[in-house]
Amino acid sequence: MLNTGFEALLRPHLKYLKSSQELEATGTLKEYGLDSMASINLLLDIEDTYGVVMPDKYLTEETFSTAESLWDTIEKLRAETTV
Amino acid sequence: MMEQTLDRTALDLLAVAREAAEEIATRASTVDEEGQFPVESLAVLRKAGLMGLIIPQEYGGIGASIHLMSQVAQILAGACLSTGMIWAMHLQQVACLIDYADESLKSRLLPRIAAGEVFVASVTSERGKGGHLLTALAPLDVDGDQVVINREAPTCTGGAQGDGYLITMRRDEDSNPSDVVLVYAEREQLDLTLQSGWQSLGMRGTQSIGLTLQGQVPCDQVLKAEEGFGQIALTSMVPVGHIAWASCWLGATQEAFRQMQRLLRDPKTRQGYPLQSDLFMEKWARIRLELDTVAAFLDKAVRDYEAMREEQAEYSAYKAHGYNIQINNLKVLASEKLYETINRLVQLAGLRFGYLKQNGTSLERTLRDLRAASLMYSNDRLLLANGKLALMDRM
Repeated sequence: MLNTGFEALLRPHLKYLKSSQELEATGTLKEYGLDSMASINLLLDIEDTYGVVMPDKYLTEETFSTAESLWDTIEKLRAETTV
Repeated sequence: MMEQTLDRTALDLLAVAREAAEEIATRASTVDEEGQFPVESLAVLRKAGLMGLIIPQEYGGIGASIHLMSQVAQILAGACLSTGMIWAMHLQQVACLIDYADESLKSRLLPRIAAGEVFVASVTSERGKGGHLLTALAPLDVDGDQVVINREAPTCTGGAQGDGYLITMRRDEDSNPSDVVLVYAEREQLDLTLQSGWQSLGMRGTQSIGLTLQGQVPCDQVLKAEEGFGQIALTSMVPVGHIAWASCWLGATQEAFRQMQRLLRDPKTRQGYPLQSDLFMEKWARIRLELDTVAAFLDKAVRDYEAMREEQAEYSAYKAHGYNIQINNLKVLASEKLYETINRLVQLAGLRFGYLKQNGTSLERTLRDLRAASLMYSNDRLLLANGKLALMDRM
């Protein structure tokens, strides 16, 4: 189950995901329309919204492969910053 | 024929290119004035063996390096930029076929291209997708062991004269527009309807008309890349294209430079130019500086790309931000800088030798031709991509 705020942030970046269509946590973001250019916009959006800075080691295709992998990375970063 | 091409050294090859260029040059102004696709000039390239310049020798080609391709492009485009660009775009398609066609397609097609029988036109444009190379709307249909093509293209260079077409299509009806496949079709396998003419400011010989393509081809004419069309684009189509185009633009501008140089060296014409003026010399020097800047950037891009090919770099290397910035920058730099350079040359040459036709120079035509450079595969899009990539890339 996706965090609703995160889903709302994600959806505008996924040009092939219809508003009626469910965004599956393990669905491939690339197939939802996240290309390399869109992923840079998404990154900036995530960093602004969650007050995190994603270090280079996380800027991989794996991180951006699914909503779940992306959310896990955000959670990890937030945990690190609050410690 | 085969033995002959095998023995060709790089120098011989450049001599062949120069000889072809001489012949092409005689038709360049007619091609431009009448807006004719340069059928005869292309015939010269076919006969000279240059249509298969980069095709490996095992398929009957010359097997030339990208570096040599760049040099030949400069020579040919110096004679006629329309012909040079048509040839460059053909080789861009050929590179994709060499790298990604099935062995069965390669063995029946590449020897024919090398023999000069097949000019491959590129079909990537499509209405409603905003010039995105990496997307396609019209879906491919599978019918048994055949695929069905039904596709409109608003601009296709040499669209009426292609012997073969390399076409981007959406993988199938259910796929996203970003799920693109590249499919090859012979002219005989297609019904072609020509849609619109090409009345342009420059590059008038390219006859980049609109057309509709319909037909069926065997499944092995769909190119295969593990990671899809993006891989074909980033590893072959875009780098070979940008290198070949930049080489053509550079070659045409270098030829204009040489013409200006002749005007300044010839005692009969140099009276009209203030060679003793420091300001004039500075302007002339800056033209040379701009040409050298583009040549150096091009050379670096060619070396880097060849090194990647040589070491059979992983696809991830071609996805790297720095590499994409470089290959996009090559196109942007060459198209912007060389248009400025030819404009400076026209200004320096003056009304008679710079601006007027039929004066023994081709500055006027080259100025009009080079205006197209920033528009084709638009710089705006490349700069937008590079802006984003530059946010991420660690220099």
